[in-house]
Amino acid sequence: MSALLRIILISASAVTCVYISRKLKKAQVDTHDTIFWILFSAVLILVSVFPRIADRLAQTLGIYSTENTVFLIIIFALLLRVFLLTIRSSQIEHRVRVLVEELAIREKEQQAKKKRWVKPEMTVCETRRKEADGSEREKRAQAKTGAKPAPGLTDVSWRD
Amino acid sequence: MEGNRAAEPLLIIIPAYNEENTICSVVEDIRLHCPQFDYLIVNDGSTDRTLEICMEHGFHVMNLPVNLGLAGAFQAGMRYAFRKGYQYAVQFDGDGQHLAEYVPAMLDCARQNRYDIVIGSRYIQGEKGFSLREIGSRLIGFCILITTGKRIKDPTSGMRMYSVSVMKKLAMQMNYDPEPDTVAALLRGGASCGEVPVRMNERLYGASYLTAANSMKYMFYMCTSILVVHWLR
Repeated sequence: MSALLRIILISASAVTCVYISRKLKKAQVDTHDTIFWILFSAVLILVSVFPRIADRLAQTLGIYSTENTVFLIIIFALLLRVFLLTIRSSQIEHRVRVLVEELAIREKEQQAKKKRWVKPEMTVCETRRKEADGSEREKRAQAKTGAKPAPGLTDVSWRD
Repeated sequence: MEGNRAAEPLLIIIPAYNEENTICSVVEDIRLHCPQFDYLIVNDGSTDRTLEICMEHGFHVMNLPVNLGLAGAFQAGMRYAFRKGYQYAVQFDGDGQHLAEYVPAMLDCARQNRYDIVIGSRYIQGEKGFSLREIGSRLIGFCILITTGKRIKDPTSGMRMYSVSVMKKLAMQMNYDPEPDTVAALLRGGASCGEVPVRMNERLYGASYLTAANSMKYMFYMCTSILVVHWLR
């Protein structure tokens, strides 16, 4: 492996570690997720500091060059990560769906609870009061604008 | 629970996932041995009759519509305790392993020594042997000793009491699951920790979550989390 590649690998790993550590301090990342990145950086640093390991691996696997072995390690690690992330995202999607469904059901139940039986006379009373209020307001509006009240508006009574 | 709050400002949080066989006896145990404490069952989206049984008996239960796992259920309970102004919260298993009679002793210990965390420890009176579980416990204890300089005899005990001083972190923040690595992180953050000798039941029903493969994963995760991740934190 060339010295430049080794330096790049080491510095990239170091930057990853520093970044993860900052995110951890701010509590923006789960510890479960950081372990992969820390291990990943550790392996890269190990391989770049001791290129003999990669050489041996390349020989036993019959890979042409050491660099290719390093790339293979990285590709496998990333594939694994993508695979695990796919599973995770499906689970999260399912959970969100269940959550929304549950929320909708609860809201529906709450609406059903709100509908109470009201004694008809009392509703009439309330409607009348509303009518009175409404006509008062309309009269005032009429006085202001000089317009006629819209027919049928005050007849509406709201009942559950 | 709002109307007739118990005498002591302590909440026993019982995360329950499919515990229909044991939840009744757990609540009976609490009512019998410490009626002065409030308890809250957090039903973690159980697929069996746990919720129905709690409703039938009129237990204090909070229902999570989706299964979040132990950490999520416990955090929901912690959030409730924090919001309602409890001074102490106890993490208590719903499978009947933990005995309510030791909770008052834990509270006394926390009050007298002003501890932030009190752990119900199996290995103060009983000797620690060399079964796989106990070797795992030793290993985690050793990791905590290295990182915090404090010796905890039973770090894997699930029976822990937290005081209001650490409650906010547990209730609001990420990465404070009810696991040994959280204890280590809190200790590093300046919290104090004590242990009270307790006895625990053998599991009454069902199999442990920690199968061989799972416990390997658990051990690996705990050790790296305590040794490496918390060092970066």
